[in-house]
Formats: sequence, structure tokens, C-alpha cells
Amino acid sequence: MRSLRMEAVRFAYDDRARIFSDLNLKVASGVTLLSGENGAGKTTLLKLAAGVEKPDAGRVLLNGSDLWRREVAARSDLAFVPQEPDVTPFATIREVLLLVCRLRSQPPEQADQVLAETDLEDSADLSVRELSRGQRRRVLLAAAWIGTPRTVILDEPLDAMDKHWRGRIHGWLTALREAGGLALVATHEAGSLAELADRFLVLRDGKVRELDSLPQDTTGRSHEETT
Amino acid sequence: MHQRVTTAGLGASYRFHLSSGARVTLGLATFQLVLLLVFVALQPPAARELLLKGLAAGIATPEAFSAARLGFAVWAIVASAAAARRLAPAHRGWQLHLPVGLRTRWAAGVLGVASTLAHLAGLWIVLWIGGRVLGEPASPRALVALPLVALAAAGAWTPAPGRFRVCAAVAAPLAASASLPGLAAAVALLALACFQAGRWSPRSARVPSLPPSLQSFGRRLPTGQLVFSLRALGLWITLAHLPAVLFAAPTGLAIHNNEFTADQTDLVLRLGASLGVTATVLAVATVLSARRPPCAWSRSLPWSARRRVAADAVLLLLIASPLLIPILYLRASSGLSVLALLVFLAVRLPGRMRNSLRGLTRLGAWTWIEALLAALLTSLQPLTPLVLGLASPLVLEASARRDRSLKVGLFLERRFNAAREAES
Repeated sequence: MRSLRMEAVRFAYDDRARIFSDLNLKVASGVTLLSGENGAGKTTLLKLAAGVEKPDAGRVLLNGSDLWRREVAARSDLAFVPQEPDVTPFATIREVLLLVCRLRSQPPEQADQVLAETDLEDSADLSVRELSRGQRRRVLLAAAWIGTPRTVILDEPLDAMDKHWRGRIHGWLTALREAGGLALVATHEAGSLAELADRFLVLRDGKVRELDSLPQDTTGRSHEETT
Repeated sequence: MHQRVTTAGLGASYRFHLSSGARVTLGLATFQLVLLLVFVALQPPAARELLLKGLAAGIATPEAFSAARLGFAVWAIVASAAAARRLAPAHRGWQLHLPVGLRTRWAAGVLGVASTLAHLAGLWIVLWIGGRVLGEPASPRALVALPLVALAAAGAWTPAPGRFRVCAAVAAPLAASASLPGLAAAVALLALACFQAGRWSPRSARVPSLPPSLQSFGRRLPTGQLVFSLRALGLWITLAHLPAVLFAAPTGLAIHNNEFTADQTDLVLRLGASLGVTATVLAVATVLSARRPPCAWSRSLPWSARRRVAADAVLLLLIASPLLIPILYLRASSGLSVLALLVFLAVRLPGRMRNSLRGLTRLGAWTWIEALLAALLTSLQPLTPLVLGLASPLVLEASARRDRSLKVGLFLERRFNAAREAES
């Protein structure tokens, strides 16, 4: 059973604009879709959950481990696919994937395997600067598949993806769900992933509320909120 | 189809190579020369004289077998490999639609790679002149051999079918023989490679990879953040040592031109070395802070903040540690003091690199003051290195804390995205 918990999280990029004052969130195994208006803080919430940003106060627990006290243990089963593929420009794709292999204690051959799975074999020796946005996102997908992590955080995973890749992501989430994994997915296209979702969350005014059904629009405004 | 090497295409392509890939590899050339100078300088005076005289005689000699010329040819081939890697992208993709024939493209590539061997050529000429001045038998053919060796070495790596690259590689030692048959054979082999260069397929325009067994070994090496950071620094790896030279020169002059006691010599040496090492690590940290955007995504991978900071510390240590070699050689005790200072700065600066969003320098003025104070105290107060050494683990932890609390999104936006927009 996997879990993500945020307890009394406070976060601001700078003092003038606080994004979360007292954020509490509990996500269990299964697929959870997160929606909210533009600028509501979905990406920031995912960054906090993935250990990219550290809360100013409060705790983030991934599978029971504090992300900032037990950094390696908490991240060992985690894969994060951000919306903006900000991979270092000073490495080839293969080198980035080899780094992920090493950090997840996987054999280097896995890098070649995921390169093949994501159709990036021919681009393996290119720098990310030489790739299209869609290809860059595929690099991050390839990285997410190394070592088969079961806790997955995805920010707009369908963005810049064609029909084939949307199908692959759908298949990945289905397999993850069946294997008892946890997926927290922020998306403006909730409809495409609704059939997989075990729960729907909406983020508004720095608070997360659970909905009982798929939001009709990305803000979840026209729905009855259960909490 | 018969293709001629067109002058306009050659000139334009050659200039492109010089401005894009080749200038980067010139950084490596500087690094090679610095290594060579350090190696020569560390020899005892008698051995140094013997070595330089031997090299000069070896380069200038009319004899067909010369270990010195052969060594230079091997050096040229190895150095060309790095340059060709930078130039290979100009041989594929979008650039292939430009009105330049394949042979012209190849010739420009060979000239571009050969140009990156300028340091080697300079050294060859200086040694030849040296040999002549010393009264050794000096053959003009040894000078004629030089451009052929450079072109052959460049041809060994410039994208073309394998058998013609082998032709070029074989031409290098033949040219290095500086004998008439050797030179003639080298010219013939290069001409053959040039003739065939118009026939290769654009798909082959890649510098050949290593054999699979070596590739597999290479993938297991501890690369990663360290290598990415080295690439971000580029030419600055070498340039960052220049501030140390500014301190080394007056230190050397002060010691040579005064009759200091042993203690005074130690003090001056420690002062110069501490300031030099400090200036170098500050320069590296400043450049790294400016050129390497924080990769937010990688923070979600299973590594700790301490490890990320430690990787930066190792990088600073690696870059600055060659400066310690001469001082450890001259005075081991002073060298150890400066080493303690270097370790302290290496663990301190990664935290400061993740610190300031504003300020005159990337690191903040206080960092400079703090580092220079540490350098002065190391020189003047013998107990300081001990204190710095003991404090280093705590300072490493403080830097790791700074990495954890870095607001990476804001840092990226203000430091990099805003700067990029301002430039555009």
C-alpha cells in the first residue's frame, strides 16, 4: 500500500505571494487526478510532493518516509514527470538515463531498454537541446520507467503527446494501478484519464478538496464537493 | 559524379567550424599545454634541460625514425578525436541541404580539426628552431612534415568511411618520419582520402563510436553530475587558473629576489598559494553558478542534497588541486595548510552557489570577503588549517541544508529565465 501525505504544508516562492498556508493532503494507492484553475498551484503541489521544492513548514511523507529527512529512501520508489522537461543541457540523453539507472541501482542496460521503448534510440547521443518538446517529455517518461517505480507524479502527462503516446501513458497508468501503485496526475484533460481514476481532487485557494466524480471543466467548479 | 572542392564553400564551412566547434576544443589545447608546462617545470633543472634538448633534437633530426616526432603524431591523433566530436554535427542534419559538396565539407572538417592542433604545431616549430639554435642537425623536411601530420591526424577522425580514415591515420606516422618516401606516401594517402570523401553517405557522418565492450565499461564509470558540471564550465576549467598565476608570479619573484629565512619563505609561499587557490575556486564557483541551471526535476531522484553538494565540492577540488602540486613539491607543510583551506572552500562554496538571488556577484560579496579572510588566516595563523579542516564536515552539512531549502523554481526563474529574456 503506497501513500503520499502532506501535513500542514506552508509554501511561498517569496514572502509576498504565499501559495499554501496549511495544506493537508492524503493520497493512497490508485490513480488520483488533480485539477484546478490556471495558477491554482497544481504544479507547485506536485513539485512539493516530488521533493523538488521543500516546504517552508510542514512535512511531506512518501510511503511513510519524510522527503527531506530520509531523502534517498523516500525517493527510491518515486518517478516524477514534470510539465516542463528541464533536463540538463550538458548531457546526452543516454547519460541522463544512466545517471537515473545508477541512482535507482539498476543495471546500465536498462537505459538502452527504455530508450528502445520510447523510440529514442537514434537520439541517444544527442543533447536535450537538440530535441523537440515532445521528445524531451519522452526522455522523462523513459527516466520514469527505469526501475519501475510504483509512486508516480505526473504533471500534464498528455501535453505535447500524440495519440500513440497518449495510449502508452494510459497503458502505463493502467499497469501501475493494477500493481498497487500510486499515481498523482495533474491534468486539464481529466476526461482522457477519467476511466482510470480512483479519485478526483480539485485545488482551489490553496486547499485541496475531493470530488465525488469527474469535474466537467478543469476547475471543478460545477460539482458538488464532498469535503 | 565528379565534385570539386569549391573555395567559397570551403571558406564558409571552415569559418563555421572555427567559430562553432573548434574554438571549444582550443580550451582543451590550453589544458594540454598547462599540463605539459607543469610536467616540465616539475623536473629537476638538469633533467629539464636534457628533456627539452632531446625533444628539440628529435623534432629537427633528418633521420627517418624520431621518437619525438612519432610521439607528436600520436598526440595529434588523440587530440583530433576530441575536436572531431565537436565538428561532426556540422556534417549531418539540416546543414546537408546547404550548397556545399561533400568533399568540400570533408576538407573543411579536416582543416577545422587540424586548426585545433595549433598548440602542437607551435610547439613543434619552437622545438625545431631550438634544435637548430643548439647546433643539432635540422632538416627542413621536419617542418614540411608538420602540416601533413596535422592534416592526417584530423583526417583520421573527420567523418568519412572507415577505410579512408585509416588511410589518414596511417599517413600521420609516415609524415612524421620526414623522409622523402614517407612524405610522398602521406601526401598520396591524404589525396586518396580526399578523393573518396565525396562518396560517403550523410548517414555515416558520425564520429565512430567505441567498440561495444569499451562502451559497456564506459557506462559503468562514475559520470553524472560531475561530468555535466565540467561541460557547463567548458573553457573556464582552464581560464579559472589564470587568477592563480597572477598570485604565483609575484610570490615567485618575492622569494627569488629576497633573502628570506625559512619561516619567512614559508609564509610568503603560503600567502601566495592560499590567495591563488581561493581566487581559482571563487572563479570556478562563480562561473558554474552562472552557467549551470539547477535541474529541478533531478531533485526528485533518489539522491540526497548532501550528495549533490559533495559532487560540486569534488569538482572544485579536482579543478583547483593541480595548483597544490608545485607547493606540495616545494614545501609539503605549506601545501597541507593550503589543502585544508581548499577543502573548506570546496564544501562551503556549493552552499553559497545556491544562495543569493541578487547581488554584485553570483556568490554574493560576503562570500568573497569570507574566502579571502580564510585565505589570509591560513597564511598567518598556523592553527587555522586545523580549524578549517575540523569545520569542513559541518560546513558540508550547512551547504546541504542550503540545497534542500533552495526554492528551485524561483531560482531558475530569476537567475536564468529572466537573464535569458533580458538578453533576447
